[in-house]
Amino acid sequence: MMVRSKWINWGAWLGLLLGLIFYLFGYFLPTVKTINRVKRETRDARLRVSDFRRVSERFKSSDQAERRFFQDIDKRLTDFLPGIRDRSEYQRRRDEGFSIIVSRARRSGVSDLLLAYESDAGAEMKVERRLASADRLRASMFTAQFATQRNECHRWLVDGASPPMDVNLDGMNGRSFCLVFAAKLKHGLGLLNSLPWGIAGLQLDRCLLMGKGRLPFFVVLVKMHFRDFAQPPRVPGGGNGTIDENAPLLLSPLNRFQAPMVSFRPLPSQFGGDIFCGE
Amino acid sequence: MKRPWGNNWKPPLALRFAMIGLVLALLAVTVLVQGWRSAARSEWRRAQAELAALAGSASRIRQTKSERIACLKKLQFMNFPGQYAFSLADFVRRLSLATIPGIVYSEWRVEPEAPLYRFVLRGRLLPDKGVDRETARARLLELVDQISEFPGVGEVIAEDNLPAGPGFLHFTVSGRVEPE
Repeated sequence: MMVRSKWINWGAWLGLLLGLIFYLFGYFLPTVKTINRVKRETRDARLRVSDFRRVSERFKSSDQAERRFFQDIDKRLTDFLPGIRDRSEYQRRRDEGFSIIVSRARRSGVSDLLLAYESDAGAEMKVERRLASADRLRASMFTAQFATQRNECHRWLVDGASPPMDVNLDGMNGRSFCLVFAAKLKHGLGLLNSLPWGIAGLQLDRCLLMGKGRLPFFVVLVKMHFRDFAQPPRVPGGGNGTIDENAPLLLSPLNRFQAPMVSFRPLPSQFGGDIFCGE
Repeated sequence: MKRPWGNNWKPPLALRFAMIGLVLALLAVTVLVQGWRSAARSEWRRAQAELAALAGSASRIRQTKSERIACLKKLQFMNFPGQYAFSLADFVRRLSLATIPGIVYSEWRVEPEAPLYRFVLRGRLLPDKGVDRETARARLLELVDQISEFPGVGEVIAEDNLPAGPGFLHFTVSGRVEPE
């Protein structure tokens, strides 16, 4: 009888222990976990409220001047990206761009220049020699150098230019071409610096500068952006790109002093030697 | 009624105290925890109510901020070509002014990753009389130092390939630049 009662006692202690464990895992720990979650959410909400109050104290709403500034930027963007309705308009604008580049190159003292672009059928690369040096040896060296880079130019054209910055604009499109020229460093760099100015939507992309001949040899992939009315509207890109959403700049109305347009800067006149033609 | 443990079993005193103590302790803990939980919940409700009250003006601020961000992005888009072209040309101009004896550049490649661009510069150091391996490397490091001081240049990495015997030190210097 005593032995049986001892076992029952052990069983009762065990029952107590099991009850305690059940309480701990079934009620106590889940409730503490819930409380911690609720406290964390409360803390987050309080932080958001205090952050928001701090921001709203410094925040200034849009005013008329800022509205005008936005309209001005939109107008400049429309001028910056010409609208193209069809292929012939694109060809006309491209040829105008080529003519401007060639006349600038001539003025800059570039001796040899050619343009490589995908033919309108898009199947093969078309090459147009626009400037050829009077020095026949120099001209033939330029041709030989281009021959070594021809495949790379074609690859660049096929791959296309790097994606533009994340700007939402309906029907934004672009076509690339390669500009290949040989010039003294000072003249070549002057041409490079002037390229995006005065030709709507022009942007330099990849660039290669080599020194295997008597003059530095430049290969530049250029992209011509435009608004293509024939294309369906571009799906707006997400994200803010490089602009920090919490930047203090965003708290007050923008104006042309805070967000200035860059204008043409000529290169300083100090140059060293022609470092890319030492071979 | 017959109990499973028999009608004759009487729990010992320690067990009785433990049972009663445990039940009381668990009751007390439960009351405390419930109080704690309801306090936390009411704080949470208050915080959410404050947040909800600010939602209207928050959305107005968000809207204005997104208009400003869109405007800045358009400006960046229009400014980048000019800044990029100037930065490319100025980089090479400054490189031409860098005075490292015996250096010859063979190739300079650039690839834009708006709003930055990546460059790779290849070249070699010509052997000079009395120029040993260490001197050649020191000259390369001097070039890297000079390039690092160009405007907008971030991290610059240099690799060299020096043959075991006498010969050129071929090098590659790469890095990223933020046009200014």
